[in-house]
Amino acid sequence: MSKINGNHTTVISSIKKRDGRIVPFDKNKIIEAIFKAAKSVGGQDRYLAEDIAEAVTMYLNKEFTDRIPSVEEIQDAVEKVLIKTGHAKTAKAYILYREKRNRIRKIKQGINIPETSEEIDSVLKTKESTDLSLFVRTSGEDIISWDKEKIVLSLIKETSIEEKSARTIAAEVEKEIIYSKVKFLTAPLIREMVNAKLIELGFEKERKKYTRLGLPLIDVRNIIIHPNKENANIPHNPEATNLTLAENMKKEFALLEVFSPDISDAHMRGDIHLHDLGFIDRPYCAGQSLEYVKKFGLNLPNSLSIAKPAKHPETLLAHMVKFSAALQGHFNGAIGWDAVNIFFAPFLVGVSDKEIRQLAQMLIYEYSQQAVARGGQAIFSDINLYWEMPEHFVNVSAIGPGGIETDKKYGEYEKESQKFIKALFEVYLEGDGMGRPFFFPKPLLHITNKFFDTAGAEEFLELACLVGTEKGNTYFVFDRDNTAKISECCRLQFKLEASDLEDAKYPWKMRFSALQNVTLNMPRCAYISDHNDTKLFEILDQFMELSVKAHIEKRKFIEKILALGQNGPLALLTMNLDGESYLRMHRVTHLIGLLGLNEMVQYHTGRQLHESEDAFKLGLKIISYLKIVCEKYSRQTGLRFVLEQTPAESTAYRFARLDLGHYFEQAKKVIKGTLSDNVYYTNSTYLNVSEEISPIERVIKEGIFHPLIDAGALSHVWLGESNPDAKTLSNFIIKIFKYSKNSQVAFSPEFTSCLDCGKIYRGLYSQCPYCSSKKQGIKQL
Amino acid sequence: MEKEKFVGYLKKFPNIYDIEERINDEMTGFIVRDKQFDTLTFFSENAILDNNMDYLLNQTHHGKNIEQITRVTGYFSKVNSWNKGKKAELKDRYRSTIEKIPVS
Repeated sequence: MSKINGNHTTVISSIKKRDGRIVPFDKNKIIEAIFKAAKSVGGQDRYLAEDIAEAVTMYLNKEFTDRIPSVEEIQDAVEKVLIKTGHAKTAKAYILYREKRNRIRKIKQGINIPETSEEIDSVLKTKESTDLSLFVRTSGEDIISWDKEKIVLSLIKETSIEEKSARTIAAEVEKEIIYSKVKFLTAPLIREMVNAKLIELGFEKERKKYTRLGLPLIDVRNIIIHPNKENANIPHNPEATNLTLAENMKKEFALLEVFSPDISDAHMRGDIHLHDLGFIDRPYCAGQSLEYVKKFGLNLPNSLSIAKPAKHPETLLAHMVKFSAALQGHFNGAIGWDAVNIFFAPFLVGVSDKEIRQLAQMLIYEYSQQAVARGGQAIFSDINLYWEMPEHFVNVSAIGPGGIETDKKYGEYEKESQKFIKALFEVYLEGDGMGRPFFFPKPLLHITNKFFDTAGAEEFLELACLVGTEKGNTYFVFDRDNTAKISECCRLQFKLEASDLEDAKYPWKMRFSALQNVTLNMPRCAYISDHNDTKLFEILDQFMELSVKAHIEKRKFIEKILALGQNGPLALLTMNLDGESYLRMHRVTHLIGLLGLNEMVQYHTGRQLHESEDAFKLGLKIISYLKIVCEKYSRQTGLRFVLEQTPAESTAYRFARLDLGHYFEQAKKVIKGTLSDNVYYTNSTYLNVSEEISPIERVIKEGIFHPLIDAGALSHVWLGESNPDAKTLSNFIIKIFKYSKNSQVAFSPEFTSCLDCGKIYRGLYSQCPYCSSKKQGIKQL
Repeated sequence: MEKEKFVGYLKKFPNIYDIEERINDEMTGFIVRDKQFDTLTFFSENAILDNNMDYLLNQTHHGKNIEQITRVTGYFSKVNSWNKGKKAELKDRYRSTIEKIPVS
């Protein structure tokens, strides 16, 4: 309302908004609007804006003595005053801004507005007279004439925008295209233009739905031509680049559609790492027993032919490898097989040593040369092996040739089972055709308490250790005190709980999977909490909460595509041959990956894990705490959350690089490597890799963490050039089993293999010593 | 092998080799640039005469045609395919000489 004052003019106190509401008059809003317009044409004087606003107010006071002015009338007043007071440039900016806002408002209301720019109109007219000869390359591989109706239809279909708005947007885009005089259009370009228009007009939700996923030309060119260095298990060939291209697009899809914006942002920022986003439509990894293949043959959904259960060991081997390849196409990573030598044993009765050796060689070569499978990538394969007959299989009925039970228990096949494991290790010892170590399948030798009571254990352990020192293949997995587990991937394990041991009686049921891995950026927790104990755990809580939410979101997506059943992309995982689907969702685990505990503790306390008792204790406290948090979430959600030592091949590098960007001052104090770009965090709960810590001390100390990490841990002993004898190594293994809590150890020698002369050297050389040596009459310059 | 054959062969692959006649240490011969390995090698006429093609071509590699292999994280792979962070870690790794450790 206005009120009368002494000068017979009024003082404006209210205005009428566009929707009819009466709100208090606020001069500051006028100041802001004028200043904004002034700034857009280079003005900087705020006081001037205030003066002009004062003049506008006076004008309004004079003009509106008997009624409340509307927003439009106030804007008219501002224009008038600006022009009158000689601020032509600002006036123009103000008018343009006002016009633009009006257009946006009208488009949002779905009002078809007439054209405003004469220039565009005239271009449009001349173009129309020459019949708009524009062509578009469509995504359906066709060239068609321009038709703005296509934009309207796709906008309505994809974003559910109102038809009137869609028409206006299409018309605006058409105008821009005509105005730009472009002759050749592609569907992606048009989509970009429509998206730009959607942003300009404030249709944010619709813009997101209308997103196009894909890569810039330069990226595609680089991927096709240059090798991928994110994962050392990806070779460089056309199949591999297909994989990389698909991964890139699926990654974008995952971040846009599968995960909510807060989770995607947390990943992009590097608070947490969502592993294998390019494989969003698959579970993480799989571990199973051969019994499924033995019992049901190869009867896969949508396959061209169906194989009955194998009758011969070679056929079983072929089924196993083919099924691995099929599984590789349905999981991100590792494919692990439980107790391979034991489950093969019923097929090996009466088979000669020579034939068993041949079978062992075939098995290892079949896996190690499968670099022709998915994406030209070798199958990340693990074979779990036992010298002894572990308790949980002794009384299990054996399945023999033809998928028929043999009337015997596995306990009665110890001899065949041992022959096969010995043959396998002999092949590993020999190495490939050049004498180099096989990369896959990885032999995971389980050692249970019973191992030491089994005849021939000492001699066999020496063979496994000889492979360990000569070639490095052997992973020693310690299953103390009746634990039973199936291992795979870089260190992942599925610990068999009471209900699983029940499954072991029907070993084809032993099908385990981790659905997803989400890793915590632990050093960042320390940077953010800035030496404050309470805050340190609060930040850990926050990161854990994000990780759990991420897991639930991925799970929902997987459940959605599993629900499509036999017509869905995961048909293989829904096949039902034994009363339940192949992938047993009730049994899958959700991994919480650990990364950089050493740097976290180092930043928080000033000491690394190996440097002080207090630092080490804090490390233990943190991991124990995280285990409890996992258990809490497991109870709350009914899902299985477990800690894992992330292999972190790329994540240890990614987090370090991101922290150098976002937390430079803090990160530079603890980050490992050489600051420029060659940086990393220490993996999971490891001690600093560069410290001269004796192997036994390292394995014992790192092992203190292992019982807390249910989904798998591993200690590395880097051997480099040194080549300890097998006896020393087997003593070492026995000590670790008896006197530590360490759950897995591997020894890593280094090799240099010369492709010219075929020699293999122990250690890493940049040049072959033999080939780079001096030769008569030949000089290296 | 005959020097004409050797020179002729290298000249067929100008993307890989440059070859030029040269005297080095008072020996007449050829200097070969191998662009794949970024090397320069001098071959005396006698060395060319005394050796076969495979041997001579390998000499232009200076022993750099190698693959380094070790465990990256939980599996073996070729070092040249590792990312920068992993290569930095490899440099830092403390290698144990396990025989020196008393385990009894």
